[in-house]
Amino acid sequence: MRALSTAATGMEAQQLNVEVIAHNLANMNTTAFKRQRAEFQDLLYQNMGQVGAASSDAGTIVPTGLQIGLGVQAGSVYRITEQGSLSQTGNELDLAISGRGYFRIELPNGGEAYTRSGSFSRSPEGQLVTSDGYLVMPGIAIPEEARRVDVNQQGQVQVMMDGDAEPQILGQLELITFANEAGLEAAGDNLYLETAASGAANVGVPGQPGFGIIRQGFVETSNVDAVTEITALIRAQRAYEMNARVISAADEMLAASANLR
Amino acid sequence: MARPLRWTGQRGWQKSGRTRHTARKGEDGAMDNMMMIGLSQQQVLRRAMDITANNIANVSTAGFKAEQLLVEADPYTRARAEDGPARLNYVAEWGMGRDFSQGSLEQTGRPLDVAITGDGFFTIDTPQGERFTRDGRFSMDAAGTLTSANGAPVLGEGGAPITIDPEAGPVTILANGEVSQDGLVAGRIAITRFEDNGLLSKIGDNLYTAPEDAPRELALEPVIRQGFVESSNVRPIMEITSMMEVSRAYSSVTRMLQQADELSRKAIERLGRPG
Repeated sequence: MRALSTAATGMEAQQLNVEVIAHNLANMNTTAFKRQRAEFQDLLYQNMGQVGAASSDAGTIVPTGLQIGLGVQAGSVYRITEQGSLSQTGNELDLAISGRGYFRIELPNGGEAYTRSGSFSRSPEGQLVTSDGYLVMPGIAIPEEARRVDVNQQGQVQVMMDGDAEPQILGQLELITFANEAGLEAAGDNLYLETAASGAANVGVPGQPGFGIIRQGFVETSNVDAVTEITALIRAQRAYEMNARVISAADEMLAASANLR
Repeated sequence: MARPLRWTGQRGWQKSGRTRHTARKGEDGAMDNMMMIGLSQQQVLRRAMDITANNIANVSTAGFKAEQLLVEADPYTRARAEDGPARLNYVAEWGMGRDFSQGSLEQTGRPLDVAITGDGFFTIDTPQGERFTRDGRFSMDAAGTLTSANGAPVLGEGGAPITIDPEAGPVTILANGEVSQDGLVAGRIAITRFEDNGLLSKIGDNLYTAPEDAPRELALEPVIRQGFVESSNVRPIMEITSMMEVSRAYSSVTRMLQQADELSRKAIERLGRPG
């Protein structure tokens, strides 16, 4: 009976759905986390009736066959790159991006990764680094004697040195955009990697058209909405239960036939 | 018997291939009729269950349209009995109905998610030819082409794919399908409408295919909503109810078959008793 395996695909799909929702909820308080959504597509169809067969002697044609669907498959898990809200921290090295773009990070192996999580710190050498100690590119070294660091909306980093009257320009932060942000590969630790689907990294300066601006003293919160997720969770669970009921009903039908003498 | 006309328009009931369950010649005694009719109904019920299972499995599939098995009493292959009632009918599938009614719109927050309100389909250029879908979860590939969830280009009104500049600002999609960026129009999403939705057949991956000569037109004034996705129009309560109906009907037919079997066994036993 097809109904059994069809309902099994439904249960599998809803299981994936619940896993994605669980991941979203688990990351509700992760800086700059982007929520994900499982999306489904119908599976193959089996043609039971012949398409285009003559349905009468008068030459009328059967327009379509009788098609029986074989269930559902997970199409993809989308990342919804909607802006998260900004939360004020007061920390001068917390930088949030308002609008499009990613910070570029140098990985210890020399590769590059991208992140929107801008809670940065100072390394022992004075370099601007992520919370994991990875270098923010292009490297910005903050001198020890710096009294305060200022980052303006265009990403220009300035320091006020002890005893100086004028701020000193230290460097310029860059932002990276991608043609297809959803195509970035999530590498954990709030980092994303470039893929063939995302397109090549496109370097720009904050505030330039198509790029976001920098907000100092803020972090971007996760864009997970607890209410939406819980609603989705309830729906997924109900859908799972319904598929389970189909399995037991189909099984009962099979059993009835099996018990026929 | 005059065949019922098919519905057109929103609910595209379609007529389709038929299967017949004929009793073999020379074996159409009254008892066999009972068995054969029961079996024909069981087969149809199993198929109805398969379709219900598929609907329920696709309860969260974007743009999915629910299906229903249409059943008829088959008047052509009449089950005959020498000295029994003359009009016995087998059960047969008459076709499949697809409910093309609007699914509810769900807000997603993705700028490239679009939903159609009203009739019509997005036109997708797959390697196998033009395909149609109500699933508007589009993306932009690395070159800036607007693509469907499977990466095939979405066609614009001129029959060409719509290309967006990946480096320019946000994409705006107007209600009439116009895709623009920074005030510059990149194209207009083509919405294809069919005179008879019953001509469409599903090929999986949320896509429909239509015969080459199916009458169609481009919708002049479609209504498209950006940031929304059309949910599946499967109504869970209806499906569960029909599932219960099917499984009850199946067990009652099974019981009937069992009784018929018992009856014939008893008859043989009694008639076979000497004296």
